[in-house]
Amino acid sequence: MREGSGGSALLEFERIYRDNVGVVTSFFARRCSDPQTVADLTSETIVRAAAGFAGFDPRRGTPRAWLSGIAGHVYSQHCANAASGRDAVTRLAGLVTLAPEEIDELMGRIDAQRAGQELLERCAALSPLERSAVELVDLDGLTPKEAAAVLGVSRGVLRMRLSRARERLRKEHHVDEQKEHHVDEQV
Amino acid sequence: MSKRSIMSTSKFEDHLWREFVHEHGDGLAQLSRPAARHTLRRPRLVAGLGLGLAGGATALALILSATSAPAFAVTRNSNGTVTVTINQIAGVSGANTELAALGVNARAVPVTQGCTTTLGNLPPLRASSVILPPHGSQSVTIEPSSIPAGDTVVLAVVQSAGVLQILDGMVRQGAVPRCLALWNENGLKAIP
Repeated sequence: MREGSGGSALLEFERIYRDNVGVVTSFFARRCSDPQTVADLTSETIVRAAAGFAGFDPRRGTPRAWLSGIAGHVYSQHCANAASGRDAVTRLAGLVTLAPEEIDELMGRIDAQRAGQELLERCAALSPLERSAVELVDLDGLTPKEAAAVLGVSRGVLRMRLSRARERLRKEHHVDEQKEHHVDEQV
Repeated sequence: MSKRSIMSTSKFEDHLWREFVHEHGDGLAQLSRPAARHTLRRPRLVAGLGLGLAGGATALALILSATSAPAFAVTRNSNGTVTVTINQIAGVSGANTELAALGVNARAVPVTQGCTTTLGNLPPLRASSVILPPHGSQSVTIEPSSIPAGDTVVLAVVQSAGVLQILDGMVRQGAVPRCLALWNENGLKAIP
């Protein structure tokens, strides 16, 4: 037996959307250089979230963690479909036809995520779990608890992996700086 | 509770929302949400009140209904924030009286059928840290010191199918409306 809250679901969903769509857009802007792809994948994420909204329980996780999880699945599917030559976003193509100023805006968002892209590239040597932990916490702004929920691990494991990943990134960054300093001295 | 700002959306994100509502708004408006959320809320209220009292609450108001469930509670917390809990539409008036007595520029406004003031008519939230996230719960926590002078936080309160939620909070200049209407891209929408 379920009770309905009727049209209030739309308002509740709008609240979640406006609080978190920027994080979702940035997630894709770090991974895609084409504004239309960023728009389509963001759309796909929102539509999938709406489809599953009836089952979303904020006691089990925050809206941001929930949407981040969906965005991750959407991107994985996008990559899999792209690799197999299928159009990943056929279902939603045309939902948002971007105006020129929106293309500029998303280009700006993609440019703004360049530092995030570089951080992700530096994370390439990390394990997938550590890489995701760094991205969710340090780039997307999720709390360790939220990130743990997205990644399906305990908070303790998340904190340990995050700490290890940050330490490794710091060491590598330090080594890189020393190498650059050495090259500068030689020049 | 982690503080999270309410982000303003961009042109693209506003456009996407309009398109989304056009394509999927009706389905979402008809959506049923789990009743379990309602039935499990009372312990949170009790816990919240306990925390407020332990933290040196300076004000607490309760009106008990015939079923002994509190219609509302307004609690000033030790960190200066104020938590507003409304369990019944009948508690809106009492909550507002208590908010006024505490000098907090915030008012609960019921969403009612036939009201002509829509949520879309109100200005967007201007200060990011006024309200800690409600996400459709029966309680919100407000930071009174963050409310711009002369402005009022308007809390939209909806009761539908036995479930009450404080849906949103907006900082508004001028008079506070007596009621609000549900709103979507198609205009006014009657409460189911």
